[in-house]
Amino acid sequence: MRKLIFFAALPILLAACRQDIAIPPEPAPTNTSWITITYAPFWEGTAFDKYSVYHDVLQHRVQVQGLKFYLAMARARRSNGTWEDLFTVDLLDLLNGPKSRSYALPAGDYNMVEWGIGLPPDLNHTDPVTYPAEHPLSYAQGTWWSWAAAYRFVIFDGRFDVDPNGTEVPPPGQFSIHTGLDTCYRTAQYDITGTTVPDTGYAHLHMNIDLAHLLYSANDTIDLEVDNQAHGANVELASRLSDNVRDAITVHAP
Amino acid sequence: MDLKWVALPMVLLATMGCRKEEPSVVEEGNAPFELQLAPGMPYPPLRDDNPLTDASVRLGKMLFFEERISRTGTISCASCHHPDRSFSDTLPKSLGVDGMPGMRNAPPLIDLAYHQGYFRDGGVPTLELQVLAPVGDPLEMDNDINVVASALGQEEPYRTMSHLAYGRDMDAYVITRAIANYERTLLSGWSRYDRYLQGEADALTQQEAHGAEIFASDAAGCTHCHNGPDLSDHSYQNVGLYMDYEDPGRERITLDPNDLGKFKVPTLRNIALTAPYMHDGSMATLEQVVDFFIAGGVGHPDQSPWVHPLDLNATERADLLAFLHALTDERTLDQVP
Repeated sequence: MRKLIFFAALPILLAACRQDIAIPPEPAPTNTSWITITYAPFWEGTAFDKYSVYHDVLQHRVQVQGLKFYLAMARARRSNGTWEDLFTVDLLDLLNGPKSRSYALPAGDYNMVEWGIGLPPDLNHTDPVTYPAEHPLSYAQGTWWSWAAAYRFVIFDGRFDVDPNGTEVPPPGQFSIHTGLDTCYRTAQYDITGTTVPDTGYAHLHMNIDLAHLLYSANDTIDLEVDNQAHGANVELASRLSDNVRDAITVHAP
Repeated sequence: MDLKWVALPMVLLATMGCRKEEPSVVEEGNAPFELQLAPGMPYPPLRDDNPLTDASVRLGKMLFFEERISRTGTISCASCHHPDRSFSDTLPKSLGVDGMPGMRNAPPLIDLAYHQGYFRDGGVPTLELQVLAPVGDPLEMDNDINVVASALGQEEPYRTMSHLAYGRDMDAYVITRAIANYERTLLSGWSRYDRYLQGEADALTQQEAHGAEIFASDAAGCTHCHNGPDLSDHSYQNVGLYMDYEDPGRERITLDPNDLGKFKVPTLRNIALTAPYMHDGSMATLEQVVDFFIAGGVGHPDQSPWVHPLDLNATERADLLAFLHALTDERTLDQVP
């Protein structure tokens, strides 16, 4: 009988593990608890629009045309200090705006969420053709760096113009900064004190990534006129972007 | 170095190779592929998750010569890895779709089953993963392997062969596994030098035998890197080809500045067939290569200590070249009729 219950519940559990859902989330089966995270891109605090041409901190005109990144080994910490796994890996493409995902999570009070940005080595060096097409690590996702037998962690592409008064759309310059290789993996923790996952239902978190801050942080400014290409060889730029992505992300409860 | 120090490791490896491990899974009706090994060559390590079966190897050969793998339908694996050139190319850098030159000189595809890292920088750990690179590379085949699989998988005999070899419709998994298995069967060891090692004293001319002695000598130092059954230890070495390398080589993978300009030591088997030479195809003839190593490289700070000026006279140089020509296989390496 236990087996029957398990197999009956399995599709529900699997469905809850990873799905794109509308905002706000659709109701889930009442016998599960989960957490929904809305991942949203911004530019200097304003909702990001892929058709807009922004100015970066150096007054370059910037239009973002590609934004994908991996999150991995996510887990949430209960108020008693124990950790619950959220998900192993997820791939976020936020070019078209916010996305929400729901992840199964036991009921309780939580005060911290943690994940890696990119992929840890044991996930980074798997075989992409062994995954089904919809899996984040599938070859079909277009993130595989075949020359290195590894994945690209962050794909940040677009156009730029050093003339702040330029009018060309899209701007004439091209930037394409891709991070990857094990050295670009970053981890981060976020305070979510006060987050309660009910016995039946969900808690809601927001992850915001400010794309303007991918180009500058408290410690570093990436000048697209100088540093605009990284595809494995430009490790120093890839490492800088990895740091900036980590610092550009904030997580909070509504 | 005495010649026996070249031969001994080969004999030891050959002995180890006798412990052949059977594939763990054999599909019904899909018999194991019987590898033909040259005398003295060890049985190569195989993968339990991709058993070397007759169907997989045959399918792999079909795909290896399939031009529709490329975006333009004009480039197959064999377009840049010619069977009569020890599966290498005659161009310094092979031309991919739309005539685009590749990044490096196409290496020969022999004895890959013994390797542990693929491409000249060793960035890819398995033959299966290696297949993905040329198919997707804009400078080579520039195609989506999933699109290739969908197209070919609807046709016969690909559809039937895919099910026979792997029990599934053709997909990227099948293509990578099958081509990898075909490449695993491309094994050398059929040269006059091999017969010489097996006891046929007259398999080499006197000049070639003298060249072999020079090759194995401590003074020449060739066997520091060119040893074992593949006449390569598969290490990564900076031979001092340039002072400033455009291609970072192994450093691209390890990110270690000390690996700048390091490339995998190539096999010397069939070396007479694989011109042009070096990672960038910058040397047109074997004579140029030998002269380069006699000169001892340009003195790059990370240059291998085994590359240094050699005191060889013209006769010794000629003998060494003659020996290198004796490393050519005397039969085809393609084991699939």
